[in-house]
Amino acid sequence: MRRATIGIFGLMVFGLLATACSSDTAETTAAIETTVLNTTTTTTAATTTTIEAVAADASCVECHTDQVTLQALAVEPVAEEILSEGEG
Amino acid sequence: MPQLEAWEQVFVSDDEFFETTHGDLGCVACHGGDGDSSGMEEAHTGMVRDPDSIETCSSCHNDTTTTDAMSLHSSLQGYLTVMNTRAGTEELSPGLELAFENHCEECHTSCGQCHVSRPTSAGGGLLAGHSFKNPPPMNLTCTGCHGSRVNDEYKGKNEAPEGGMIPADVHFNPGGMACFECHGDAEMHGDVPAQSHRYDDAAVECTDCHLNVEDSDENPQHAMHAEDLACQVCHSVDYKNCYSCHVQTSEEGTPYFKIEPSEMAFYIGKNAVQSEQRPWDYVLLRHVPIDRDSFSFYGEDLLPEFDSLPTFAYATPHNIQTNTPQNASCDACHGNEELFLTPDKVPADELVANEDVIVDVAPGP
Repeated sequence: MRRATIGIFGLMVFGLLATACSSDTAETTAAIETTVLNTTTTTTAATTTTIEAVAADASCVECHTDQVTLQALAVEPVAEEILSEGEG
Repeated sequence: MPQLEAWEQVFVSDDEFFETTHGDLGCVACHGGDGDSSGMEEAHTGMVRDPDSIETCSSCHNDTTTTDAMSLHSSLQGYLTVMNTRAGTEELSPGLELAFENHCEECHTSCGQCHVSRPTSAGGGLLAGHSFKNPPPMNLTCTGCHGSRVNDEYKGKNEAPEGGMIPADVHFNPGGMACFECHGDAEMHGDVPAQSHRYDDAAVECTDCHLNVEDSDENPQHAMHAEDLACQVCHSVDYKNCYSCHVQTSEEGTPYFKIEPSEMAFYIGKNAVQSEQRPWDYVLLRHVPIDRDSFSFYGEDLLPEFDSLPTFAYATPHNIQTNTPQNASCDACHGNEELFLTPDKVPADELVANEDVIVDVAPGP
């Protein structure tokens, strides 16, 4: 049941992120700019291999290291009716 | 265990992660997806939230992933063994297979579900900003799944039938021991002889730490009883017993279960799984959450060999005490039928299933 909940939640967050990351709100833009600076700092100190890897993952890192963006975009899953009874 | 908010579950908060070996690999190398895409939908296409242990981790941790595939946490062989035994089959029937998929597979763990995130069955979410934890934090991983019995017994969260709380296991308080201090890498990663269930092999024994207790002069009771009684018979107290679990799905397909209220009780019985490592005549028994009709939602008579295993199963409760009611004196145990699984304590339709573990008469003085 939890797996289903997480799956539904994942799709919801995923969908919202897909929409919202391309939005033009000032809050989101500012947050991403900050993260880009952090990413640059990390890659500068890393090896060539790391630079390539992180550069290829820039989009992932931008969102998933940005608390403000995630808090703005994430949607809590709709609470499911609890059907189970007793201790599992 | 409180659940993480949605954003916390996927928040990579630990900047230092990107300077680690795992961080060097980048996101896409393990999770897939398209890291070059600025559109989130494209970026997440093909992304895997919980990377496969073999496909992802084995390139560096091959020794561990090879044995881990055989561990009970990965294979869930313990469930399969008892279901097949009660069904009288070597492979699950279609009905039981569907039940297994709906109700049991969630308990499967991957490398990441202990070392990076909370297990899915415990709600999921990163443990600490995607840092890899070794050993995993016990409260977020081990007891996140092993909650209703192990966690509550080990930490002293159960109410005693006569009132008050049953004390925590001395290994936890005052011992302060985490799970992995007894259940180490080899057991967790399947680096032990192949197991069909968790008591198939003694991956951990009390005497691993408590050396030579049988020969010690400090307590003559150890020399007198060590060959006949499992340690828990004298050093455990009331523990949780569950009855009559039934599983099914809602009209929308959501799996759920119904189980009768659990009972705190203590049953000494005969040892039905005697082996070189578990030679004792008497052990503790716990009623496990099984019923003749547990899987009846998935078909009729799916457990035709129900009586081939006891419903009061060999148990090792995690609530060890130095001093217990039954070891207070000789008479506290000898002849005390309250402590023993006598026939009157067994449901009538389970007498046959438990005939190998029932104690007809409590041993006298």
